[in-house]
Amino acid sequence: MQSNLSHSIQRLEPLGRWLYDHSVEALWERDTRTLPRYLRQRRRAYRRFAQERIAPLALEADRSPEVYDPRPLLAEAGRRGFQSELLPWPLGRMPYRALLDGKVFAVILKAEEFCAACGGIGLSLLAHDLGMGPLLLAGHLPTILRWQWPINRANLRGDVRLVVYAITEPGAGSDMEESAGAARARYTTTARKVNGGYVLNGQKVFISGGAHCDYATVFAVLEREDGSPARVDTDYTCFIVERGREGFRAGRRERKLGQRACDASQLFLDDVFVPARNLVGTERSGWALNRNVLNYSRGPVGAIALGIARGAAESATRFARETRLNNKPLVAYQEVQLALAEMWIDVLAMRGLVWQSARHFLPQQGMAAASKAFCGELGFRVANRAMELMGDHGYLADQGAEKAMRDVRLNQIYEGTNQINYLAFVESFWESDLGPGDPARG
Amino acid sequence: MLDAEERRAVEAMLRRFAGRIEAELLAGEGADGDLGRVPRLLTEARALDLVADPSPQAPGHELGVWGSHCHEEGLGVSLLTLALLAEACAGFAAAVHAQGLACLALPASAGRAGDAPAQSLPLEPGMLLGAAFTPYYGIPLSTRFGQEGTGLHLVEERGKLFLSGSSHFLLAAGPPRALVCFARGPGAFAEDAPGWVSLAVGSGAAGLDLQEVGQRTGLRAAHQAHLRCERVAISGDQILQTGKAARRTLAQVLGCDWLGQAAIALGVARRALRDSRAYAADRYQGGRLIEGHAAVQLLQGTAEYDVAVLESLLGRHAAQPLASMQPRDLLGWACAARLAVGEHACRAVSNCLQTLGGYGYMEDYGLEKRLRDVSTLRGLHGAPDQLRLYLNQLRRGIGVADAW
Repeated sequence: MQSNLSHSIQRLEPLGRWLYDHSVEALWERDTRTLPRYLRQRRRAYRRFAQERIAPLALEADRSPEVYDPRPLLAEAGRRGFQSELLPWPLGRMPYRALLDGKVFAVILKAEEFCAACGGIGLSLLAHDLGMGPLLLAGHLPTILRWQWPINRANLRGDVRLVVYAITEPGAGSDMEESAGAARARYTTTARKVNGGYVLNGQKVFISGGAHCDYATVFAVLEREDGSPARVDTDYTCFIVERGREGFRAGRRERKLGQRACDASQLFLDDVFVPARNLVGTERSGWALNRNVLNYSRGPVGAIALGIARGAAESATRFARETRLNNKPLVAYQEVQLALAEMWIDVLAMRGLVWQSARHFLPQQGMAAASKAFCGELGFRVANRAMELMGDHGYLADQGAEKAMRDVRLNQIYEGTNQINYLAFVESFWESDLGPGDPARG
Repeated sequence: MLDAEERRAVEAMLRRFAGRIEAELLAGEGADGDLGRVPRLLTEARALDLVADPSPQAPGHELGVWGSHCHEEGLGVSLLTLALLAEACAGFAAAVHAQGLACLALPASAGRAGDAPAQSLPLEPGMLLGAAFTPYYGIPLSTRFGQEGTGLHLVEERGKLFLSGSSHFLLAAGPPRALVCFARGPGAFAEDAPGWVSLAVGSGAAGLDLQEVGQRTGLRAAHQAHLRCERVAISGDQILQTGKAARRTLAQVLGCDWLGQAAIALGVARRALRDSRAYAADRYQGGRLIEGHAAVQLLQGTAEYDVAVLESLLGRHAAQPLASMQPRDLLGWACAARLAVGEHACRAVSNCLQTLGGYGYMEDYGLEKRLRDVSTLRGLHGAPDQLRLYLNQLRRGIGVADAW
């Protein structure tokens, strides 16, 4: 059939032939070709790193996360500039074109490539960008020069400086990510103003990279001077806390379903004094800062799901190509082709939304939430479809699909559950598209 | 069939034992609990007559899961038992299920005239068995990939019989001491060559190799292995059944395998829903209990619907004696129930996990184990697309179906 089609195309007029794209080109290359040159180069560099450095570690890091040490890979990624892409040269390694295009486009490309190789190791590398988010988005140049620039320089030397983001608390997860909840959140982490700085108390949970961090950007509710009850949405304040500060320690590392190479740890703050220079942004601006960090991070979280789903689709495709039954490869059977097509089309749809949301000049709440929630759902569907296609082989660890299923399930939960992201989408487009007023007031 | 009072008594006993499984197996830390305690719990389950036994003298032979009572009294008690055990631990339920399937494969358990247990294989009480009937990919009996049979072949050379080939993903309660194998046999043994032959063989036989499948997603309390045979000598008295009789038994084993998996998935889903409700009644968000949020109600409502679908599917022919059930009806029912695992049980568990947010993803709350277990059932002994194709074959009356 293909041969007949080729002959038929040759019979077209020259313009007709030119208008007919019948080139044989891999999906990945085809999509890469649509990017500007500086992003094409980045995408190829990320993939090379993922294939050479991440993929060989993936299964063992998942199997024995307690012995996996992320620092050698963090050092290598740092030397290659992958850990300092939120600022342009000389402060970091963000491409200048990104100042005019989408700010997080390079980050979403990185997230897809790293997580196609391993969701857990990918997250352990990407958690740093999230931790650095408040330092940039506070919009305070001295903060950037005092903290972000030296951290970038150290990472570029291969001297690992890992920053993690700490908002979630034992009794308040979703409340820290949604307008209606924030007003009534049962928070535990507080800051009290003292001479020369602040004293922090409380506990954070599920902090990605918390066990290995050098710094944490910690959000705490700043007590009011008049003694009236403080709230997350009016008194939230961000501080950078260095490892080694008295009273600051990492606690238990959670045992979790997937993305196991990246720890999710407790952080304890017991009368931790931080000087005034550790304040990130201004006092009581933390709620806006937190929400904007989520606007910047949810697109990349969508890309993490995209990458994991692509990894699952690749595993299923490999299985279908290599398995022979009745003297022909599994992929030659129609039902297998249909299943593969479903998976890959889902992957393309995820990439379409992730790239589209990242093309906005600034990451926007509704688009970021859409990208995150959509990819979380579809990623899980793709991983399950991959397991199904492989039958019994699908639940074997060495085939990769079951790990993808476990890994990508987290994408419906962190950075706000999908339900919270749907509500964030509604809130974002409430006044423009979906209804009058502010749902938080309702 | 149990009357209402008997059913309540059985349920109460099963719930007590399920509580014991949780206390014994899952109390400590670790993704799947202390798996070293599984053999002891199996012994206790055997004492309660929950585990099928190959020896006709043992009570479990009749009363255990997939025991001989199924032939006259239907599958309801076995399905009920598996679902309730799975509420505690799906892997343990799978172990009990696997032992039952292997016993079901022994023709003596069917009590049919003319069939005899293998003379060369003493069936001791409490002996762990495995049933080898699953191919590398696809479904035995299906015309899609089942044409190659299980991958096990019985060949006759100069008057001697040899078993060669492989069978995959064999489930058992522990390392089995003997296997009941379904193989393609030579014309002399099959009425419709190359037909089916079932035979019994000790797991220590020369040329027989059982290898554990390696790390897998869930159901880790059960044992799972690949079987490879290279010219394993078989004597005539190891042959259990041939031709249509062997095929009929294989259909029963296959049907009960899928139904048992669906029952286990139902138990997992029910338990996930119970855990989700308890959490939602205790956790606050936005100043009120999360059970008051529509988002949580939708997740739980969908899970409730999914559980109802599974219950309805499993109850469809549960009262019908196995002996009177046409293989085509049994397989069609079982196939649909097993398909519902992927679509309904998995969704129910995933939705329940979602209601716990980050805690659902962590081992401590048990939902992550339930998702792993139910996801394993999604592809166990048959990829869903292959099940759909097979269901269609059965309905169209082609392939395997034409034999009945």
